[in-house]
Amino acid sequence: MKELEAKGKILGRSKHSSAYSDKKRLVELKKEKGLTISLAFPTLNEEATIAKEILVLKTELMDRFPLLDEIAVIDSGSTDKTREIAKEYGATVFVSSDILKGYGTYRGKGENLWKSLYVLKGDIIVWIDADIANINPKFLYGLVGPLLENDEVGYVKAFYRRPIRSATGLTPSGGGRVTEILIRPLFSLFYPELAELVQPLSGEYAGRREILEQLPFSVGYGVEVGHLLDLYHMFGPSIFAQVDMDERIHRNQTIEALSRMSYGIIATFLDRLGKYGDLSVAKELGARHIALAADAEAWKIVPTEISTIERPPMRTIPEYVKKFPSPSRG
Amino acid sequence: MRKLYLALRRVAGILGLLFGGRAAREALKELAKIDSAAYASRVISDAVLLNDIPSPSDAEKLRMEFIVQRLGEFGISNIFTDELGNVIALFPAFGTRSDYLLVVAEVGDANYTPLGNSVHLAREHATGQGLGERSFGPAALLVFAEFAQATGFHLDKNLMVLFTRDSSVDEKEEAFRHFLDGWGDSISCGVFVRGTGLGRVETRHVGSYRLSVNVTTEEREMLSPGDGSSAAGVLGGIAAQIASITWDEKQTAMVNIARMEAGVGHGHWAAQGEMEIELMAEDDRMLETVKSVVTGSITKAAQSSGAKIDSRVRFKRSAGDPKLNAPLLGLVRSALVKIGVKAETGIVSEKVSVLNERGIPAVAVGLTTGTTSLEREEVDLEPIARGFRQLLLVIEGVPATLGRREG
Repeated sequence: MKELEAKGKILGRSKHSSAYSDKKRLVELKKEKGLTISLAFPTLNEEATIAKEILVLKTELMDRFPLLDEIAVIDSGSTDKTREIAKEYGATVFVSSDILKGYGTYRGKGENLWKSLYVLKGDIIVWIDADIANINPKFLYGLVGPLLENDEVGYVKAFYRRPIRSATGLTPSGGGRVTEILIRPLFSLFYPELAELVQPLSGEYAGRREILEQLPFSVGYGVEVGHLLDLYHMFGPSIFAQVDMDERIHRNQTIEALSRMSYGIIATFLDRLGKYGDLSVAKELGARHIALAADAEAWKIVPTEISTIERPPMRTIPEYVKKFPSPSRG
Repeated sequence: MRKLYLALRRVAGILGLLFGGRAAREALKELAKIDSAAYASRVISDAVLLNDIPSPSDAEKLRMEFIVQRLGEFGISNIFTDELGNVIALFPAFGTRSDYLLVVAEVGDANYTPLGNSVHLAREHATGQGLGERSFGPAALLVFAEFAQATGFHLDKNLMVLFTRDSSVDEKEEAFRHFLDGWGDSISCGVFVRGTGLGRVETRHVGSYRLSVNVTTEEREMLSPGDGSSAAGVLGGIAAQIASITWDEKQTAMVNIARMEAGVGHGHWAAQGEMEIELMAEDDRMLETVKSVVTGSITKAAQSSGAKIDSRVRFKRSAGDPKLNAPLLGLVRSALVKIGVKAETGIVSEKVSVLNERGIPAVAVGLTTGTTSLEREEVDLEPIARGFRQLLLVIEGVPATLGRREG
């Protein structure tokens, strides 16, 4: 419950989600400002948790308190029952490859987020990962609250404790390993102000359409860090706010998966360093993530293709401009 | 404070009856058109959220805070809390009656674990430890409170909604008894909302005692001279003696050796041990007889073994009163027919028995069906709408059944 000490601009805009728990007030603010709010879940085989996430958020924040105007699932081609279940529980379901077909399709969370901008209708867009086991309405109203309260805030990140599942249950800390081992040192070196973000890679965030539509989206793991660096350069640190959601229980990744994730993040990070002239030395990126695996005789190289392709700002897509002709409210 | 509130409420009720009687009748006509299925998803959602909240906590504070916040969000202002964790919401009717129909649910889960309690929702079922027995009941009562507040369901009867501690976290029912000490004289009957047990008509009255027996014998080296039994031997002897008794031909009483533990393992004399015994009988007179015999056996074992034996009653639950509840059981059967659910008999819930102890007729209403094992509960989602409808039918029917409708 304790508010973080306001040392810098981002920490100064860090609150606990309980600060936004008066849902009636948020609904009134939304009406006063004439805004609409959309929620999208990027999914790939999330049948274990998607029903609960949709049911809880829809019941609480659409039926009881009309804060949300739409809930959508942007699916990467799940082979389980994610899409059927999501539809049954009241979400509008899109298959990522069916959106803006003329621009091809790539597999990755960032791809789904980018395409969701085209199909969602809201002025405020909220993205929440579909693997949260302890979903709670605060994950949504906590992200939307700062955007409704403060017109200067354009992008809100969630943060939380991330316990790790183990054989004996949940171990209190240790989640967010990529953040602590990779991102925090990089931010500390290059963008100390961004190091004030408690969990820069959290999968729950919200933003204003007029800002999001100006951003390129890495299709893979680099999407979050790409957003942060682009927003920082375009608007400065005062565009950010972050909200404490207490605890998030979710599926923990293997160390191999985290390694692949780190590769994607570093690729985006280095790209932005070059783009903004923050690093004088530029080097061509490798096209594959290289892991090592041991069999009975020797170590071998396990290469994995990880996309570093980047989508252009949505405002540059003619179909999008046709659908949303005038620049969004500033 | 409570008495002042009730006096003021009666004055307001008289004014309401004079000036708002027609509004109340119109509200009740509208009630018939309400689709209870629309409330089912709210029940599931609140059950999911409740099941995630850690328990037990002091006076079940964490889950009760959620409930108080919810009631406030529904616009309910007559909310009372006490130091044992009870949360009470009053829904006064128009009129002059001062007695209340109590609708109660239990809150808390002694077996909570963060991962085990995390709910998995599928198309037809929800699974999660504690979900059916510990969370669907209070969730249904919360949504009932929301429903009553939104529709004026209570305008022809005084309703009192109570969230009290679950018997798994309060085995002596201290919180519920504390509530009854303060409010019992205002309550004319009770409806206990259970998460599961839809279709179960609680006709089997069972009273129970739970006893703890601790045995201490002298320490002894293995193969050294000495006599007397070890703690394990003494406990085994007591268990064998009382478990072999046939109490009556119809088997309306029994003794359950619920747990027995003694010694630390091989190579050590078991000098200390403990046993938990559950005594059950269909009426309170028989229950007292069983208790008397069992405690007598324990005393005799202490004398003959030379061991130090401490036995204590952890708590007692009376069997309740079948005659008192009979009219309400008829109401439940009638509601089950209306919602198309087959009735079956079941054992009377503890909250019902405690109300009966105070001379208050009471009945339990189950929301849905499901299966329960030690580590997993699976709850059926489809029957929830019907279960909620049943709850409304029973509450709506109570005043007429007991001849207490306000006019």
